[in-house]
Formats: sequence, structure tokens, C-alpha cells
Amino acid sequence: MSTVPRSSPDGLGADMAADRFDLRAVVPFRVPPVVFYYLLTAVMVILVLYPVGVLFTASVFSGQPGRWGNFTLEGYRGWLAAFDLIPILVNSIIFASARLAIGLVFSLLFAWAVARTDVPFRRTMTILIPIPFFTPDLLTGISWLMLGNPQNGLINQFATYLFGVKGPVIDLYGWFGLIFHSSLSTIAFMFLMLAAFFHTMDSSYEEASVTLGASKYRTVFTITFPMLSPAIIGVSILVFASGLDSFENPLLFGNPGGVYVFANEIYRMLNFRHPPQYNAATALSVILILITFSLVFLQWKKLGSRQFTVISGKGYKPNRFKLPRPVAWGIFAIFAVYFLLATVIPLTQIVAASFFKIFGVYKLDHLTLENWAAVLDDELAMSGLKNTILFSTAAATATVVIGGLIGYIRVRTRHWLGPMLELLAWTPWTLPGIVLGLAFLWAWALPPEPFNLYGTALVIILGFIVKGLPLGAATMQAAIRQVSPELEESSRVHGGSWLATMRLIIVPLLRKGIFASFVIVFALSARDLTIPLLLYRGGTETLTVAMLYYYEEGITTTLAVIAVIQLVLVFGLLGLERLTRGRQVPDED
Amino acid sequence: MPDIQLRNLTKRFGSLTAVDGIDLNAEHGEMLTLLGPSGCGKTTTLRMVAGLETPDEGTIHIGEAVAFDGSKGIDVPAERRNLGMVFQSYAIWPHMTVFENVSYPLRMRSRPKKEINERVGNVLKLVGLDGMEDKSATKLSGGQQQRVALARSLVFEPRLLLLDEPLSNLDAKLREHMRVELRVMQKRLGVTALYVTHDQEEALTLSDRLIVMNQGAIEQIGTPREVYESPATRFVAEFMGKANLLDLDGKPEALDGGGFAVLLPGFNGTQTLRLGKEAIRTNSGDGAHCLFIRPEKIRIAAPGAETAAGEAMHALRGKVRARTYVGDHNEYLVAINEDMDLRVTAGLDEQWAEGAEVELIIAGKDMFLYA
Repeated sequence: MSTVPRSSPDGLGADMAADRFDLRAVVPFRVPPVVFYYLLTAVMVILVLYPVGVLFTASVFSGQPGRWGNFTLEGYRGWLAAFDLIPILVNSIIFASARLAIGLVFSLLFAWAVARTDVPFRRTMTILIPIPFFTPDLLTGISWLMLGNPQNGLINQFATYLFGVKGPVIDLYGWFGLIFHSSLSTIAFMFLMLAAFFHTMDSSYEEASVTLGASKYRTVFTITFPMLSPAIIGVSILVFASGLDSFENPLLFGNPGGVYVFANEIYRMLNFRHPPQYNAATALSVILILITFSLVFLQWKKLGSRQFTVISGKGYKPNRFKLPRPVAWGIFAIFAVYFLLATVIPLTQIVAASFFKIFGVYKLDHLTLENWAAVLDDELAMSGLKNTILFSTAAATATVVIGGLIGYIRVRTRHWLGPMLELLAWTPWTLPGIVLGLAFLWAWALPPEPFNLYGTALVIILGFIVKGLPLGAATMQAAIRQVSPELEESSRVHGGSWLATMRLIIVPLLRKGIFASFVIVFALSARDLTIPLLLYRGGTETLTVAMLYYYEEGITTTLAVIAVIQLVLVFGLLGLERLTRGRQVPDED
Repeated sequence: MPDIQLRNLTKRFGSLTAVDGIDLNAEHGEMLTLLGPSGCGKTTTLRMVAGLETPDEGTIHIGEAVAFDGSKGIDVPAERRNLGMVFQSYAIWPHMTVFENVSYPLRMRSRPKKEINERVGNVLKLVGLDGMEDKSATKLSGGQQQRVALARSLVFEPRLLLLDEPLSNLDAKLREHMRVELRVMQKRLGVTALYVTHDQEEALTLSDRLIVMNQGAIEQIGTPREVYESPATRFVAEFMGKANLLDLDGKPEALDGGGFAVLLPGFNGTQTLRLGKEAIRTNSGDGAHCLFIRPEKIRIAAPGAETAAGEAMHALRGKVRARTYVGDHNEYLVAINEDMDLRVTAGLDEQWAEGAEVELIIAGKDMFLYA
């Protein structure tokens, strides 16, 4: 102990029991944090790599989930040697390319207009354009099919009734519907990704071009787009890959029109063949993984190796191009049509359908709450609602914890497992939903009891966790990056234990990021169809499974009510998150 | 017994050795400054003392207790080292009020409520923030945040206060003001302080002793005056203040009396400067040497003017090449031969025009040689 008197003239206490908190030479045993890193890595390997490994192995076995069967290359031979892969590959490429091309044209137009020009209502546009990305494709797809199927689509009935047109005026089954509907959400997604780049590009590059004699429009093509080309190319590869991943659109629009791409072909092998062709489906899944993995790797290299010099950290106001009014209003009109097609029409239609007795007969005296009352008594719908809330909540909570730990290790330590864990969290990004579902089916039917999760709720929850990890973990990591490490260190130095620091400093400071991450994973899980579709058994069906069931049964009124419930669930949470986050719309000048 | 004792403290990041086996003591009540350019290891050293960074080798004693001893596997966690720390960013928790921030160390130590209120009240009065208890920490100005950080690190009367560039985020006026206040407060409380800065003016005005670090090693430990007026190494000479460093061709000759003779080519032929034996600072054998003189230690006079030059004084003939007016003095660049210029600070009373022939008067004790 120090023998020097510790009193001060300021009355700060004479001697604050220094021995009470003074150093003790002997330190009790502490578990080194590295042990937790390895533990977490083990969990991630089991969650992410184990199912993929089993899937690869299963692709050369003749059995079915739970039973390996014999070694065989028949699955691959069918696709590769018999050239059965060719039509699937060609269809997939046409589908993904068409979707990308349409998405690129409109998203570039919208992003440029909103970020760089004085187009009217640009703030409204910024908020409304991304909506279709958040509305589940299953829901808007079904809604559009209610309107545009060739037999009894409302538009066709209307045309017959009003103008006496014989035969369908619009047929959304097949290629047209497939590309039309999937483009709507693609535009929204690409806009979300690209608008940020357009907003942050320093306008002085464009101004320099204009002062040197180029016209405004010429500058767009000589300066703006080329300078943003790394971002545009990167996003394009991502969108192309996600085109190969898409399942709902091929299922809804492709199947009835006989258009088969990877995702619905895999599903067809499993569900429309007797017996299910597990070997063929698994081999096709492996082929698909290899393709999407290469594409995402390419995108990562593209974005990783090139610096975005155009993005400056400093705040500045972009100088906006003044568009001639006809051009500006023309762009706004294109937006209005897009918004009508992508959001207003499908959502109005599905909400209306939930409140009328008979689908398509929208007379005021047919207005009813019976559909809603019926759904309350509907076992499948209610069990689906309960399960969706339960599974999504569990998955979102777990993902926040896992993502938070990974983000923490990545951001705050120099341990080599940090980048490894980050990579593991990103791996599911390359796994199409249907493939992930199949991999989980194989992987968790394999272990002996009590680890055999086949048909349990847990396996669906684990699937949601893996599906949500890339975005959930990235959100947590971004949140952690924003909290200065000194805020934590200051707590430790001033006497806060690890636990106290966690409880009093880290969690309160991260609460917005935690909430955002939770909502994202919840929304992704609540709208997911592929994972529960392959993994559910009686009692573990979700809302999406119930929706698909009633769609296939043609019970449209019940279907509409379930769809509205799902919409409220997803949008309610997203709205709540937006409110707590405060205004995030880019600055207006 | 010193309050802090570091022995052979070493920290490596990968292949980089950030702190390379340093030894130092801080006596009780002393303000000790770690000074050096960024990347010299000063902050890493401070963080090792705090327990925020784990050393690779060496020992840290705080008072009599061992805080770290690599060979014995002792590593007391930061929260048990019982020291206060002010961070560069202040690290004021934005989700807490001033009171919650400042009372945190006491709450962590489970002090009774009455004592917490009393102590927080007292320490806030000490830093001039009384009455601000319920203010949200984010609503404070930079200077106020700085005071909250200081109050928080002092409220539990730690034996040791660590400060990591605490003034670097303040504007120049406030920085100067806080510097004085910090010094007064530290002396009044009698707390031992370890202060990290890259600002030499701050180090000179604040410290009882200062430690100049470079590339993970200590270059010099001494009082501000010792370090400034007689730098131990060429690095310290260049780092602290303004300096003239003239590269010499030959190596200095030893004189009979124990001093050295240095040959300097001049306009009037080669001149011999006689330096005392303590003038050689780093003895690394036969390598090239350089001569160090502070600009303010040189006096300008008219050529041939009678100087009160004792035998320890030297006069060098020179030609004014440039004159810069800096407000309270002039700065001259004076050529003493074709290749060598000396910077000289001089008062405003006497002005020398560009091109003027002058005499530079330098005392032998103000010149040092570095290898």
C-alpha cells in the first residue's frame, strides 16, 4: 500500500479504502477469449459448411435424406452426359439476363434522376421505388396471377365482359409473366444498391466535364456511368446470380408455362416425380452452387480490387442537372407507371380480394369480413402464422447474437479467425434458397438421435439463421464499427467488468443496429418460402407454405387474407425499424 | 517506491515491434510525459499500463503490486488495475448523462449512494461543471466533454492517471487553457500522471519529466529543460524545437584538454571550433558526424564588431540570404559557406538586410555533435 497520504484540499475523500480495490497479485483462472472464438467458429462450420459438405457428398449417392444408398454418378451423368442441362442452363441464362437488362435500364434511370437531377418528387421516388424489394415475390406474384392468368384472370374476364373479347387478352403464364414480374422487384433492388453510389459521387467530376464543353447528357455517358462502372458491374453480377437463385417467380409463372430454370427444376425433381429424384436434384444443386459461387467470387474480386475513388467522405451538396420540364415529367411518368405495376395494383388487388365474398366480384354488397373470420378458424393458416412469428423471432434473435459476436471479433480483435468467420457468414449468400433447403434436408436427416432434426421446427429455424446471416451479420458489423473502441475501453479501465461493459455500454450503444439486424432477418425469414417448403412436416408449416397450398388449391379468398397478414407482419416491423432509425432519406437541397 | 515501474516492456504486432523492451519509473505525484512522433510506441506503452494491450514480454508494477509479469503469467485485467484514464476521443458515453458518466467508476465499485452523490458533486465542482449533472453527455461542447472525462477518471481517487493525447481535439486557445488547468489540478490532487502526446510544446510545459520515444525505444528521459537544451540523440535534437544540423566531412579530432576540434569550411578559410568533451552525444565510432546548434543560441553581430567573446565563444563569418518577419522576432537564413546555411532567430532591434555580411557568435557549450 502506498503510505503517502491521499487526502486533497478539495474534500474528495481522504482515503477511499484504497486497499479495497487495489491490485491483487494473484489472478483467478480466466477462460481466454480465444476459446470462444474457436467455439463460435465450430458453430458456424456446423451451420454453414456441414450442410454444403453433405450436399456435395450426397450428389454422388443414390439414396434419399436419411439413407445414403450406393455410390453413383448417375445424377451428374443425367445432366452432363445426356445434355439435359442445356435447356435448363439456356432458360436460366435468358431469364437472368432479361431480368438484369430491364433492371439495369430502369434502375440506372431512376438512380441517376433521383440523385443527380432536379426531377420532380425525387424524395417521394426515393422512398417508393424500393418497396417492391420488401414485398414478398410470392405475394405480388400470386396477386398478378389473379389478374392475369389466361383462364379466369380478372383482366381477361373484364375484357370479355366489357368488350366481348374472346380468349385471353393477357397471359402471364410462361416467359412474359416470368420476366415481367421478376423485373419489378429487380428494379427496386438495383435502385437500392445503385442510388447510394450516385448520391455519393462527387459532382465536381461532372462539372469539370461540362466546363470543358461536353453537354449534360453527354457527360452522363462519358463521365457519370463510366466512373460508377465498377459499382454498376458489381451490382449486375450480383443481380445475375440472384436471378439463378430466384425460386418463387419460376414456380408461379414458369411451371404453368412450361419454363424450367434451375430452381423450379430442382423442385420438380423433388415434388413432381414419383419417387422423388433426390440424386438428380442434388447433382443439379451442386452445379448451381458452383455457378453462383463463381459469379459472387467474380463480383467480390471486381469490387474488392478496384477502389471507388469517386466516393469522398466529406459532406457536400451535389450540383443537380436542370432537366427540361418535358424530360423531367417524362421520367416521373415512367416512375408512376412502375409504381402502379409493382406496388399499387398487386397490393390493392390482394387487399381487396381479402374483403370480398367471391373473388373478382367486387360489388359493395359483397363486402365482408367472413374471409377473415374463416381464416381465424383455419388450422393451417393459424398454425402457419404462429410458426412464422415463432421461427422468425427465434432465427432473428440467434442471428443478432451470432452476427454480433462475429462482427465484434472482426472489428475489435486482430485474431485471424475474424476474417474466417466473416467469410463463413457470407457463404450462404452464394447458396440459392432451394439449394439451402435441400442441403439442410440431407444434413439434418443424417445424424443419429437426438441430433436428427428431420421434420423438427429447429431445422427450419437453423435454415432461417443461415439464410439471414449474410445481411444480419453485416448489419451488426457496420453498427459495431460505428462505436469507438474507446467507449468500451473507458468502461474497462474505470472498473467495469466484461459483463458490466456488455450490459451498460455495448448493448445500449448498439441497440439501433441490433434492432435493424433483427428486423432484416425477421423479414427475410417471414417471407421465405424455399426453406420451409422443403423442410416442413405437419405442424411446422409457415404462412408462406400455407399461401402456396391455398394458391395451388385455388382457394383465393383465404389466400388473400393470409397474404395480407404476412404483408402487415413484414411491413409493420420494417416501418417500426424505420421510425426508430429516424429519417434516412438522402439530403435534399 | 515508484508508482509505476516498467521493465523490459515489449509489444509486437506481427513482425513490427511497437515497443522494444523499455524501462521506466514514475515517482509518486509526478507528471511524466511520453513524447514522440506517431507510431513511436508511446500510446501502446500507455495502453499496456492500462491493461488494454497485453505485452509480449516484461513486467509492469503499479505501486507494490504486479500488474503484469509475462514470465509468471500474471495479467491483472484493466478493470482491476484501479487507474483513471482520459482518452483521446474523451470516450464520453453518449447514452448517459454527465452524472451517469462520472459516477460510473464508483457504481462499478459498489459505493453507497450517498458517497457517490458527494464525490460526483465534489469532482464536478473541481472541473467547473457543477450543476450540469443531468445534462445529456451529447449536448456538451468539446471542452466540457474533456472535463467530464477528467472528472470521471479522478472521481475514485486513483493512484494513477493516464492521459492519451487528451488535448488534441480541442482548438488552440482552449488547448492552452486546459493545459494550465490540467497541470494545476494534477499537482493539487497529487496524483501520479502518465501523459501521452506528440505535441512537444505540451510536453515541455506540462511535464516534470519527459520521455522521448522513437521506433519503440526510449531516446531520452529528462526534465523538459534537459531534453530541450541538451538533446541526447540526433533524433531528439531534430524532434524538439528548431535546430541547425550541419553535416561534417571529417571526424572530430580529440584535443589534449579532453575536448574536440571540429573543422568547418567558411568564407575565410576553414575554421576550427573547439567543443568540450561533453559535446559528443552519441558515440558510434567513425561515422559521419553532424553539428547541432539551436537558432536562438546564435547571436548576429556586425562583422568585426567587438565581441565579448571569451575563449568559449566562436565567431563565424556569414552572409544573410533571407530574412523572415515572424511577429515578435526575425528569422534569418545565414550562409556560412557555399553549401551551408544556418537558421538564426534575432530580435527586432537590429535589422540585417539580405546580402549583408555578418558575424555569428556561438558559445561552445551550445554546440553538440551527433554521430
